[in-house]
Amino acid sequence: MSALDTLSRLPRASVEFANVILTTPDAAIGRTPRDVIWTHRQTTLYRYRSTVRSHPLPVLLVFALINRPEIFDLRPGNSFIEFLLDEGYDVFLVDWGEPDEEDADMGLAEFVCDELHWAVRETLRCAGEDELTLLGWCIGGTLSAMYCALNPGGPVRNAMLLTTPIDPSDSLYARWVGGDQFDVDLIAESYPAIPGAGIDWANKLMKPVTNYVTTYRRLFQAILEGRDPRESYQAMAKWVADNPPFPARAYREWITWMYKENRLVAGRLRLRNRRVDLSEIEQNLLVVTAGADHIAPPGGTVPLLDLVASEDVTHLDRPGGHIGLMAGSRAKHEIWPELADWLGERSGR
Amino acid sequence: MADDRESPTPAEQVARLYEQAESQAAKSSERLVGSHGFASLLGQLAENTAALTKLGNDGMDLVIRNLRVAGRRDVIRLARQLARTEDKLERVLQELEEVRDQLRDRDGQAPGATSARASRRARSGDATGNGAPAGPSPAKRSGQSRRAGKDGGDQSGQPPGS
Repeated sequence: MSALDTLSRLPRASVEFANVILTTPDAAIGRTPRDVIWTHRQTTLYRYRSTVRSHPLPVLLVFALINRPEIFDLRPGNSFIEFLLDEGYDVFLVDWGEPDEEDADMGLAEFVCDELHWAVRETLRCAGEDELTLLGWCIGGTLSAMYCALNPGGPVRNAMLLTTPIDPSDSLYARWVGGDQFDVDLIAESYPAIPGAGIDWANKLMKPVTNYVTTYRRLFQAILEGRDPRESYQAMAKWVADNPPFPARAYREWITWMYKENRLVAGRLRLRNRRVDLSEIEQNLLVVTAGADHIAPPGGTVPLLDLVASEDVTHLDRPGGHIGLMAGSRAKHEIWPELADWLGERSGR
Repeated sequence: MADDRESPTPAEQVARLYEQAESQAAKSSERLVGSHGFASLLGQLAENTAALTKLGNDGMDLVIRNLRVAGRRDVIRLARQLARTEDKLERVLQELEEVRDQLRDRDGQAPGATSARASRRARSGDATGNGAPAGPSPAKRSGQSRRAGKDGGDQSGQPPGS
């Protein structure tokens, strides 16, 4: 493209760029039809029905507390849930909802021992099965690992943990919040529900130029070159900007136990007076790490592989970022089929 | 043709230079935010923001309380009472379902099936650790949802157990 061409396209591209940014909140995400199965406080359990169900074992998806679970169902044609349904799975999703100040008393024990435990119960009842596959991503993976450790021999047959922090002592987060300079007690006391925007800001600050400059430059460049990035950009941008608050007690426990004291991997984390012992995990285990993950670096996940008692352990380390690995444009053709292959072999009666 | 490809236009050169500069800036900024000095600064910034928010909220609460108007704290107290009631209701519902399943097992199923299910329950244990009903207990319901959700309603259109 000549300089003159570029100049002549600039005004139109600028208007379109502004339009894409301004209409992002209107993007439609999480469109796959679903039923509400169970609710408790802010938590909702959804069911997505497959029309070609071929695997008896249902899959229960658990996402983090700091973003919405719609990342599993970003947009038609690029939805992990849609992919699982096409593969013949009965899919359930735990949505932690939008906690508010009245949920400040929700700690990790409430999420693992009540909400997740009951969601598993309801999933089994609804699917009419005795076992299920638990797929946790990010903090959802850590909560799932805790659940499996507390329920050895329980109803979880397969555990799939995606970009999950287990030993985050070497992460950038640990440098920020693990030391004495970060007073998590004061913050949890001041904010009964830690504002999602604050957590989003901190996440973006980990790669400031990439998040605040490169993203927009690439969008503008794509528009200038005549490509149409609207759909993919808006879906992801809308999801990224939608950050529910983090209940203060869960936040305090998460930061203290994981980043300041690193209790989980040391076997010193207790929920309701029961030790969360990762060596109790005996499910078929798939651990997925992303090579360029700066939020849950692979080095903070792989210690799990040596701790668990599972006889069937698989580790996939693939190029990509914390979210991009599973929700990027290449995920559908790269990581999803690998997950489906692993799961398919372990989902029969 | 080949020569054209080898010599980039001035616009392409500018674009390439800009991308290089951006890439350098990205690396430098990541080094900066990864430093202990930045972590200290971030910690203090978070503390200051939290302390200011707390001061503001406490002051506002005091004003509203003195005006004898229900404030945020009162709403939260009410919401927590509701949440506690919902917790209790959930546990009662689970107990009820357990009893109903046991009755159904006893009345309508072969002895072999009953014992298999009982053994599965015993195996699954109780992770709540607070005296809540025992672990997930599967009940064959052919995909029928259990009870009405916030916005979903009972999928069967019938009361549970009907």
